[in-house]
Amino acid sequence: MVEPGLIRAAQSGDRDALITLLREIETHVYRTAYYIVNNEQDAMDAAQEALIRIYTKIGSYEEKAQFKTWIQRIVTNICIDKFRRNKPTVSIDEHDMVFHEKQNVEDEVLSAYAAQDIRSAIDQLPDHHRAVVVLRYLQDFSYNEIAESLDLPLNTVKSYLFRARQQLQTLLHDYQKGGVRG
Amino acid sequence: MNCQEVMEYMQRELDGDLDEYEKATMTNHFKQCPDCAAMFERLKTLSAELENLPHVTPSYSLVDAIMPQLEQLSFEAAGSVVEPQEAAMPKRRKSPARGASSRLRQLTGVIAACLVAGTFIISYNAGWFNGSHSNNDMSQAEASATAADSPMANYDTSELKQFVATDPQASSEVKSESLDTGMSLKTNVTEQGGIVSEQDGGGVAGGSSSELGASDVGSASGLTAPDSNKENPDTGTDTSISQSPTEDNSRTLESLSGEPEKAPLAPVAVVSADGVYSAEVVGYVLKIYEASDHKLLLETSRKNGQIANLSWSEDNKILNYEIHLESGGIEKYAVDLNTLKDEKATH
Repeated sequence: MVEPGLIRAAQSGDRDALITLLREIETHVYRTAYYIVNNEQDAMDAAQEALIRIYTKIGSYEEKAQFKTWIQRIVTNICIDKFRRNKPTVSIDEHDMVFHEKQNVEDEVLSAYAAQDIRSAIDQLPDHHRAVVVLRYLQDFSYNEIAESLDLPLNTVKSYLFRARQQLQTLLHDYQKGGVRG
Repeated sequence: MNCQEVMEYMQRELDGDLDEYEKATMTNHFKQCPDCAAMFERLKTLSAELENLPHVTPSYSLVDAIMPQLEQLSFEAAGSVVEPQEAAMPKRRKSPARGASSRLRQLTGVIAACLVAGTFIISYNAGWFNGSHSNNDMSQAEASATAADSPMANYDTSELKQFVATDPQASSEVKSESLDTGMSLKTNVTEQGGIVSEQDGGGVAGGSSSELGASDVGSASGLTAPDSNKENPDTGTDTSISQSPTEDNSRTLESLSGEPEKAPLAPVAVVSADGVYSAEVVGYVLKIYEASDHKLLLETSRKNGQIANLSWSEDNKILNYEIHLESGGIEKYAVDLNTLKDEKATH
């Protein structure tokens, strides 16, 4: 995504390189913020704060981590710590993994879910489940890259992602049937 | 293979994480279990929808929007090689500006010049000087806790305090000398200016530097003191300057010394080369913060001398510093950030 040479130049104090670098990543930063906070204005604020933090902290980035996971870690932390306070989310029960109900095969008319429904379903996920989904689908991150970004063990990332998809599937299935239960 | 296990396979398949054998196992299960097959279809639909979520972009350039803040940060960092502070963030506003030593150096020059100018004006008023002798003496003795009658006396006190704070050993001598004539006052001021720049060069002189900050505040009316100096009785001085009937020269003084308002002298801070830690000297105590969020990691006991010559080890894990005892001796200390222990250095 970002050329290593540019990162090194930015780290060594080349301010123009640092600004160029910020321009290259601003959309990625914003996109994550947008889907985590689910609000354009908050996303702008969170993304700007993340860019300022990247600007000031560029010297502390170490090449042993991927740059893209380093910046996603900064933006997800800001979003979760500052902009998601007190937002209601559904609880995901560890032992409630598989089928909530036996679903009848016959009512499986597979129509596309409305994007708006998907966004509001994502918004109901617990913070870290949502962050995992956003990194997986909006940043195309692998399990490992998500683990690195969120500082979570690999198995936790998988279980968050799997549970989040099941939860989303249940929520969207309920929307489709015309009513949100619970 | 049960449905629970197949669910895990389905999930992994969505991420392209299944090998051929696992895929075949899953497909075989679907043949016997229509519920799982249906669930997989729904999950695939969901996953495809998630992949197709709009790749939103900001409606205006975020970097352009924050450019003024970034420039501010660069400006604040310009005087030092350490990393820029997050001073542009609203929550940081109150913390004293660090890493601006060059600007500080310029300002101390301005302040010294102001004081010299002020003193000349004062020394013209010889009659007043004699009359206010006792007044000065008293307020000095009480560490200027009470606001004195004359605005001149207040000015004098704050200046004196400045000098005393800079060099405690010389204080008694200075007191008598400075009350003598306008000339000797001028000498003090010059000396004080010299000491200030020396501190800058040396890098560190926490206790006196923060005292200095407070004294400046006292003479430049209407300023708030740096956080770390709450115990300084500068407000008494401050209010009386602005409230008492003003003489021409005190006005001059105010306007002259009003300039440094924007940047009160900050306590000395030394940020580690990797930008992770920030060590600050506050009075006779050394505090180490996490530079990113200013979280206090360690606060040493009160030392019995000036804390000076802070330096970080190459791996940025050990902070070495010295304590300059009043007796003239130097004690070397080291704080290990791994263990958070403050101990006398072995060598």
